[in-house]
Amino acid sequence: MLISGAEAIVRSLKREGVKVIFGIPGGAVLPLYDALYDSDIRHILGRHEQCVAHMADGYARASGKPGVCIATSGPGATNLVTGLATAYMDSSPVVALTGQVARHMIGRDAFQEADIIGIVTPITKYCFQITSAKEIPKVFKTAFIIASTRRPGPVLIDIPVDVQREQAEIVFTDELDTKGYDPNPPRVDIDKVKKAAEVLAEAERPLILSGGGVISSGAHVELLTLAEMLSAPVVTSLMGKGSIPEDHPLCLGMIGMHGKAYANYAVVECDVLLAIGTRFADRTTGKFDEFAKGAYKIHVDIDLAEINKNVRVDLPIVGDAKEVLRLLIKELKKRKSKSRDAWLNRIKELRSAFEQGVEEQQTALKPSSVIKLLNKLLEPGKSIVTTGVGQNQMWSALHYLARAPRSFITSGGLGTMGFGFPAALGAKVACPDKVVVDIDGDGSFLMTEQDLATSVTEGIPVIVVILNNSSLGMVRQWQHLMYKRRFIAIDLRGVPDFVKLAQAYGAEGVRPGSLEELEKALKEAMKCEVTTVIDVNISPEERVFPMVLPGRALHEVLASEPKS
Amino acid sequence: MSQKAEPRILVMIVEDKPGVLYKVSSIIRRRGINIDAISVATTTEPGISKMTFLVNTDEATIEQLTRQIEKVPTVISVGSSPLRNLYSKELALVKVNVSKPGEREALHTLVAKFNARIIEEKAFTLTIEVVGSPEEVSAFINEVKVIAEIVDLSRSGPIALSR
Ligand SMILES: Cc1ncc(C[n+]2csc(CCOP(=O)(O)OP(=O)(O)O)c2C)c(N)n1
Repeated sequence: MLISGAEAIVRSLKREGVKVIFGIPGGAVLPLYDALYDSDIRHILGRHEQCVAHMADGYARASGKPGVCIATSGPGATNLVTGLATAYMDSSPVVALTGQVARHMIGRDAFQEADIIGIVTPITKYCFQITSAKEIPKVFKTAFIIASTRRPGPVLIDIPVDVQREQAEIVFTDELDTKGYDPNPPRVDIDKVKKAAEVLAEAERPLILSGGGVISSGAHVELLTLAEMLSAPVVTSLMGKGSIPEDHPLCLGMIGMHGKAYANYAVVECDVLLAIGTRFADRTTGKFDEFAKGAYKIHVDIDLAEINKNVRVDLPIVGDAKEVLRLLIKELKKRKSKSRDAWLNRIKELRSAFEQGVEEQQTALKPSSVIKLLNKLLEPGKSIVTTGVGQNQMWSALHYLARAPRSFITSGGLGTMGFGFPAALGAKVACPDKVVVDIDGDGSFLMTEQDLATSVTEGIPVIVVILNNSSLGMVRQWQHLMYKRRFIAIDLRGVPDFVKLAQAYGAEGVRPGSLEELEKALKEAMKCEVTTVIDVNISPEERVFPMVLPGRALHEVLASEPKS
Repeated sequence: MSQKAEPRILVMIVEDKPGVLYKVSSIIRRRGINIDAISVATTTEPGISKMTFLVNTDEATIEQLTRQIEKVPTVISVGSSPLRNLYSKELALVKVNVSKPGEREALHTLVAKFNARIIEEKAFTLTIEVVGSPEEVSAFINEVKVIAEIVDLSRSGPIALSR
């Protein structure tokens, strides 16, 4: 039977279990939209293509399933770029469909033609341009496999408009359109696992560094088992937040530029470091050569290209985190681990040394008190937090207790301002029963706030908590600390009025004046059927500490504001 | 691991699809590495090509590049080796102006010495084909330059096989 390319696309999406698509139509995807008219796939109309990409990303990160977005050719496609680069840096499975001008027009500078393959090749895991409707089933099958297996990542499929219209005899297969891609995880070298078990059992001061790979491989249970078996404290990268319940006694929280000071010191003092599913980002490690300098380093990662890229390790184990951890647990069961009492006491000492003064009673609207209130109100496993970029993100990372995997969603690698809100919408679509809160900055939120319209019209209620310092706070902090307080281009002047802005979109807007009012506002927002924007005014003089200055090593962490 | 930059060959077996060369070369460009020569050709298997790149870099970088390239879905396999450890051959076509007395004879002698071949001989030009290791081809070209003026030159870039 003859069907159109567009129908073949919709059928392929259904075959992949796609239930929802985020998109914005345009001339070059109209045949596809027309085919969607007859399908039960939910289409969510965004207001900017950057947002539909972030929504698909948020959906993917919250659910673990690929998130799908559509944009038209030319400007629609180029608007996806930031979203794809964000997903690429954080290894998130996004499948983007773009319309393209008709085949015979490609390369003639046709109306709304952009060489999107040329543009996104370096920021996608892979991309396809379809040249005939017959290819559709194979390409879609391959695209979803590539996006979601091994180290996940975004994939783009560019589809000329005449291919969408083309009538063809289309055969649906599960065959893959690639010879060089093996979707199966690499085979684990069991000798290396045995060696790791030996080293870990003998370690005096073992430490586990857990990254985003633990979450994407679903290895959080194994991670906890291993940590408890070894009595080894666990630190995380920003992407690793939620891979271990952060209220667990063995969890020390995030390390890195704005990591907890005692967690950073644990890295400095450990004798064996087991890093799992982390790419040793510079924001995590500080100066590469100084990172865990004295420690024997074991690195578990699914991506061979990450081994020795930034930090040289003693024992690399290439494989899926969950599988490696299972094997490691099995090996460790055969061995007796050393007592870690001294090490755990030392950790306690570090913790109390650095926590002094930090824990004073807070009643004012301060970033930490706002986020700690969220810890109290948000139920573990029933809530998701997303963030903007800047101070708001780092405060969230420092103070928010992610107690379940996929409950903390943030743009780690690219640091994309404007990510938090659309990602929250995507997460809410994936998990409608969870409370989704975007902790945002005023600058970040302004970059994508127009999708308040999407949240209201599509019925996707989330809560936006703006830590509003009327400035590009993190830039201001850098100018304060490193550019002699010569503040330039950071003043947002409290514009716009976010309460009125929210109301203009038909959302709720509140500006609490105290912590009690905030608590009340949050409780109401959790019950509210539309999105609520909570504008929390904080001082522009608030800075994020601890901080490891750029280019410095973790032991040089400034635990608090330097005296000047 | 040798931190010394030296000429190295990257050889990959790839699917014959548009965009493979672009993806691979963008991985190399991103590292700020210049590609000194490329050759791409079909293999005995339909739909499969072999690409050979000559780059000048150190061992750690080439290892990183190899692993990055390995991940490209259209790349079936990739390997690298210092140029000196391989059988590598290059072809060059050299067109030379001969106007002064003695030049023609000197070129004939040089051609014999390098086992090269004259493929066209005209009143005022000679076109020579030379095959050899990249070093041999370079040496040949340098010697030609001493004798006469080169008006056109085309080098294929090296292709390589493991020893
Ligand atoms: C798209 C984008 N542009 C610029 C930056 C650089 N940048 C990093 S943090 C920051 C300030 C963020 O301000 P805001 O969102 O208000 O958050 P705050 O730091 O005040 O919490 C800027 C401009 C960025 N990360 N992303």
